[in-house]
Amino acid sequence: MSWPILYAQLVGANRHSTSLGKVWLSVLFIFRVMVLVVAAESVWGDEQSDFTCNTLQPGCENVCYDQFFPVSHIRLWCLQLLFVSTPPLLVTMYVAYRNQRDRKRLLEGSGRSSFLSNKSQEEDLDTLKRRRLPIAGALWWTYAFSLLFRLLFEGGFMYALYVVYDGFHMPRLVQCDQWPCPNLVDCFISRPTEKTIFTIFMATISSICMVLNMAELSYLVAKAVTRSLCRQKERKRRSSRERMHNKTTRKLVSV
Amino acid sequence: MGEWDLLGRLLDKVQSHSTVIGKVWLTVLFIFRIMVLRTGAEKVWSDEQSDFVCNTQQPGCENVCYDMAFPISHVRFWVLQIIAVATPKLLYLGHCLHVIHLEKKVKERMKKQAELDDQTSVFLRRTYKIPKYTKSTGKISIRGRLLRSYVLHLVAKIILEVLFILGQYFLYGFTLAPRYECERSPCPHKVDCFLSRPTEKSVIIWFMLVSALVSLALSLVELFYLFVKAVKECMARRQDYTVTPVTPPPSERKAFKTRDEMIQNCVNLELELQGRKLGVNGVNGVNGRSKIILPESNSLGREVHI
Repeated sequence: MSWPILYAQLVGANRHSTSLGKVWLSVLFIFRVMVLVVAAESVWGDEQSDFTCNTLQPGCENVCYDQFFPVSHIRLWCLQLLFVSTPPLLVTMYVAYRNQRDRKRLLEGSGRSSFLSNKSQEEDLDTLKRRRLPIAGALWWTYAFSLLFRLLFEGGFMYALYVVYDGFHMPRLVQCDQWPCPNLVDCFISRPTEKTIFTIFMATISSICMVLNMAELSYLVAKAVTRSLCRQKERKRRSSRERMHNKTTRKLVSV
Repeated sequence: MGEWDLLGRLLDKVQSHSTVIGKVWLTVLFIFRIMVLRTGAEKVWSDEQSDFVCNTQQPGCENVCYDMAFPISHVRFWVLQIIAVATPKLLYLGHCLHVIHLEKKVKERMKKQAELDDQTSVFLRRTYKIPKYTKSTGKISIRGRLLRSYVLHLVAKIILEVLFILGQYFLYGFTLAPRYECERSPCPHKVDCFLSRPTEKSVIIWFMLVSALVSLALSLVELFYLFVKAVKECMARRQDYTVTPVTPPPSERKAFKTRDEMIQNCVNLELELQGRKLGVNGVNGVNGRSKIILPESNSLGREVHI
């Protein structure tokens, strides 16, 4: 897994996110990706080689391992991290689309007014690239949807892990009687306690990320509501000012 | 140091917002703990389970005995310890960046005001809120809110370090014995299990323990250093202060609540200065400039120049 490439992509999306979004990205990479790569992968490294069953029957260990570990925790977490990281790319795509549209407009505008020098045009294009769009309008909707998808993916994968492994606890002993095992055999999982510790750790950090996403979503909604209220107030003030102005002009005219 | 790169990059950012001792602590963290963990410890512990051998043929006995002896491997424990100990610093970095971002906004607002309102800008440039944390050179000084969060992060770091050192002691002790006795089902009776490379592992455990203790000591020294500096600055400020008839003592200074008050004060000041230039009598030039105190919430916060 080439996590640095993913990080490079997400950092680009990070520019247009809120502070909570930036915190979420750091938590994602330090507490989840780093722990996964540095610690968890080595804990699950020998999960099949050290999965021993109390039988000499060839093939029994293989089938029993396959029965109890349809998808390894590590692969589930990798997929979860990938899916959770893709919605912010929606925001990047939208920002790129907006920038391209504005660049076209700028070039068309400068083409008409030919006195604009090349230098000022380049400067304008530069500021276009470097600017930070305010989270309003279509960008707000894109951002809100990306947050919703993030929440759905996080919750979905956590639930999937819980269902596939019957909770977050890794048992020490599992009993298996799949063919070709001759009878009900005891199979022993390697490092169950360490695996339980890391499963609970990853589940906790996942919940923290979900809480951060929910907080960010509520912040966005609150911001949008206050913005619309302010706009309504402005409109009311302007209309009352116009009415006063009209009244005075009418009075002057009548006088 | 592929996977540790991100942590490294983030902690590097904090370097400019820490004290000298904080920078030494970061170096100790990277060289003596992370690098040793990656280059040494991981190799020594690589065969910890495959070479954990028990004196029995009972299948599954080695697995369960290994699980009982090492609920969490030393290497993973140290990884969690390093992440836990670095987290307060990252939180402090977040707070720092937030404060600097707010100050930037204030500066931009000031500039806009100055552009829009030319007349009052001359007065306001002197009386409006001066950026507190970022100096004109761009350097950041740790004072007020930042100092408080720096001290908090130090305390959190110390507590976490102590917790992990004690945790390691209660889990494994500080040396590994070559033999481990285990009596857990499905082992038929009490079996002897033998660890792989116990002496080499003990050496590395001691090395990592000493690095943790050095980090802890550095954090304690830094806390003490900040405390001593703050006390010194407080004493120095009290000695330098001179009370004059023009400037009221600090307890009686009124915070300027409105912009008009500030502007009026500036106008008064200008008139006073003009009067003194023309040599008008009655203006006592004991204290040439009356200090205008800005309404800052942290005006009483201790300032430490680091």
